[in-house]
Amino acid sequence: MATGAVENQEQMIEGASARPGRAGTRAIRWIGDQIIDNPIFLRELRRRMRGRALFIAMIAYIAIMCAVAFVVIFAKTMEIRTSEVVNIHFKMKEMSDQLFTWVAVIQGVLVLLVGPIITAGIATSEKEKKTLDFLQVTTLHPWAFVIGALASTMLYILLVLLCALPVLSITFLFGGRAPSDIAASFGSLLLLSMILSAGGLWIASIRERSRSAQSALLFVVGIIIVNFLLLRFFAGRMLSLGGGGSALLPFSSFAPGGQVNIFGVGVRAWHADIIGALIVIAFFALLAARRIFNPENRALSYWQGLVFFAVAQLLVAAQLWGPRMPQPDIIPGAGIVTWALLMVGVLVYQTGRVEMGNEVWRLKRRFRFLRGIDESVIHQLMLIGLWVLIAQWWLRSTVAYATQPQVTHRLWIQTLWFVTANALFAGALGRFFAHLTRTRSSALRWTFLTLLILYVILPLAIIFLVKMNSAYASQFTVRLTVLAHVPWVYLGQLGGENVIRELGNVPFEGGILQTAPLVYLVLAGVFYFLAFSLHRSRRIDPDYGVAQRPERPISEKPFIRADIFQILRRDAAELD
Amino acid sequence: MIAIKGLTKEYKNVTALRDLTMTIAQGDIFGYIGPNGAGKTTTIKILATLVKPTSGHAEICNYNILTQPDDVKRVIGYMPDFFGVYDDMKVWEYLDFFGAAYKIEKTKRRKIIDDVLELTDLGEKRNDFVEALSRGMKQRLCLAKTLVHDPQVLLLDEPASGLDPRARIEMRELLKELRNLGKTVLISSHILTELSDFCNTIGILEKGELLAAGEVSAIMDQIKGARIVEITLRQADDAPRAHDLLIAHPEVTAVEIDGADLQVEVPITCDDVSFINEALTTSGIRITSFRESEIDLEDIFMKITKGAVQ
Repeated sequence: MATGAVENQEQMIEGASARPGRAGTRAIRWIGDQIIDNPIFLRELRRRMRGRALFIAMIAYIAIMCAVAFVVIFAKTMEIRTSEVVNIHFKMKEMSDQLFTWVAVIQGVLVLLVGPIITAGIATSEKEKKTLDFLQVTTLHPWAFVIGALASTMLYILLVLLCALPVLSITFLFGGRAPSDIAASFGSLLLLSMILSAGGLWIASIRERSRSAQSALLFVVGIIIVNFLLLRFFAGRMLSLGGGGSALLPFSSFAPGGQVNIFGVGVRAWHADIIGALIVIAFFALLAARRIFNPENRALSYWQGLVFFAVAQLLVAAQLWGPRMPQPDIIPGAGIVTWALLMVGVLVYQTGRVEMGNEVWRLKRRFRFLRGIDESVIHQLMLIGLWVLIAQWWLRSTVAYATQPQVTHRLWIQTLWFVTANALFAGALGRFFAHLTRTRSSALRWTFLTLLILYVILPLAIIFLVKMNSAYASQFTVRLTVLAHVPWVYLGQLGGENVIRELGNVPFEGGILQTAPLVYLVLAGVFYFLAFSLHRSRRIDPDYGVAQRPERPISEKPFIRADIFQILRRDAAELD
Repeated sequence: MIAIKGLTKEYKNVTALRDLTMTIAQGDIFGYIGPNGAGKTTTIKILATLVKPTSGHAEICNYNILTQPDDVKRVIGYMPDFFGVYDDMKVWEYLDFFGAAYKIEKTKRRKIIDDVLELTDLGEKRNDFVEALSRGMKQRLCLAKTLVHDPQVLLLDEPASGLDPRARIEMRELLKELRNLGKTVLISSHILTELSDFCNTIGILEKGELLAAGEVSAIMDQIKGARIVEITLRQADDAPRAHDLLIAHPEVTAVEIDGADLQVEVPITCDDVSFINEALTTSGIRITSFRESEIDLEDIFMKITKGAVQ
């Protein structure tokens, strides 16, 4: 009976995937099945669309939209009535623009916050309600969970956007706005919301409670939005961004003239934005899928991290390659992206557990001198090595096609030198905090806080003070040049965005551009020294071979290969 | 059906399971008993592929839990001791959700849902919201969810915990139905009298170590060591004479007197104890009761375990 049951069961379960058809049809069916017959998707739709909550929320939302539209139209009408000379067409277009902007802003705020909060809630509620075990013992794949959660959330977001369509359509009556504007706004918001929602899933996959996930999420959403704005603003200004692309997505920021160069082939900015957004969504979704059912899973192995970095780096490099290559001032802009990528990689490695892991044990077997070095330091060096390697190739192709090879070469060396030194400093800082604190999250928190103060808060405060009172500029003439050590000022300086000179004619000599990397190298040395001193002060646990503080272990579950040195010794003996 | 070899699970400072080795045959109802913290839930979670063992391995229906977890998930049904439900779903939606999660075709799910609802006696609650169900019904719904993909092996961790007596009896009847369906069941429980009703094999675990495993009757024999017959005499004055009479019999190993009551011990190999009755009655000693002392799971449990927890 049991054997029969197994056969029936296998037929029952396999039946769905064994349907005939061409490969293309099967692929479409598979995607359809992943969404339409996705249990998470169906469950979330049922739960969210059922009951009065959605109805009331939508009524309230539409009422706010109508009220905003009414206020804008009323205010503009009053203005037209009271004005003596009026260009009625111009005023109506102005009204149309204002109405569109206000509705889009309200939609944007709602959509960008609601999306990630919903997806984070879907994942953490499984943990809070103790239903995750049930899901884990089914054959439901983590990807199906992620796809279902994202698809159901996006459908909800689409509903929110479409509900405002009648209000937005009022703009057509006054002119100045085309349906394509609304489509572009909806598309950008959907994509950005999807990025944040996927990020929300990832955060929720590593957090136990909704509140904790949501607070972490708001922090990340803030960071992402600020980063996007910064990238858009600085990169855009630096590279004299000319039209095209989305106002919200930064991926085409490096697209002078509305086109992105991929190995000499021009890609429209809009397409670049969509491709960029999809890559980021896929990356977040991958991280979420890896950990959603098992938070102890590692998001990516070190090698996968290196591959991801290399691919991202090549995508940046691809823009500088080929006869379509733009002016050399694009180099610092690309340097900012590389710097951001390198920072993420370095911080992830360096704030990791204090351990002697098993991923480079082959290297340790080969090179004896590596055995005494922290695994994470080796990975950081590999990451930076990879960057320098790609940068060399990048440099050659850039100079080869440059209209001013000398200038390009100099810019390149300065960018490379600064980014490398700065990454080393950030890594050393991360390592220091990893040894000083108990967990990776607190090490990351402290490192981020320090970098935030150094790179954002302090420089912005100084700029604000100087801007408020230009008399400060002359008082702090020399001291203000310290701002050149801030990465975005430094790289902006290289790209022609002279922040320091704008601060009240402060004399700024090029020499500082050479010394800034040296300062970071010295700081990196200091923090590595402190980190290693802390490292040595701890006892070595003979059972695990893991360096720990006596009473406050860095990690409760260290990722180790406890027998690594036995293997190394055995191998060495065999080789002898 | 379930083969466990050298399973060990270590947490930070605790060894939850220590070199566990046992086999459960197809169709067995295996009662897994042990004090709190003995490692029962850990074993079940490892078998359900939710927790990875520190060392050792296990196979369910010849699928390795470490290397073929997806195959294992298809053949097991897991019900934890403490679980949550999606309150804002209807009963049929809840089961449909898990049917879809097991990739059962949409067209077949409806019939399967009807079948498991009938089996668990929840047919009338089909369109009710889960939050409106009583605790016992939620427990039955959880069991229905566990059965939705027709698993061969059921891993039930304290399925009757927290239920009132009626719900407990209903759950017991349901488990008997599953036994009749030929499922292999590994069930852990603290309520040993319930297990003794329908388990044919048991395993006793303490401090992560398996102290005894096998058929219930074999373990009982092993524990008992001897058969004990309890006799009550009509007159207590006859007790010394009865003692002398019985102790002289070659099959009797010991006789104890407590007023008019006698406890006669014979070897476990002795098939027939009617000779005791015959010897007493032919000697004119009148008896009011004659019965063989039975031991149950509780006695076995108390004899084997020491009450130690980790």
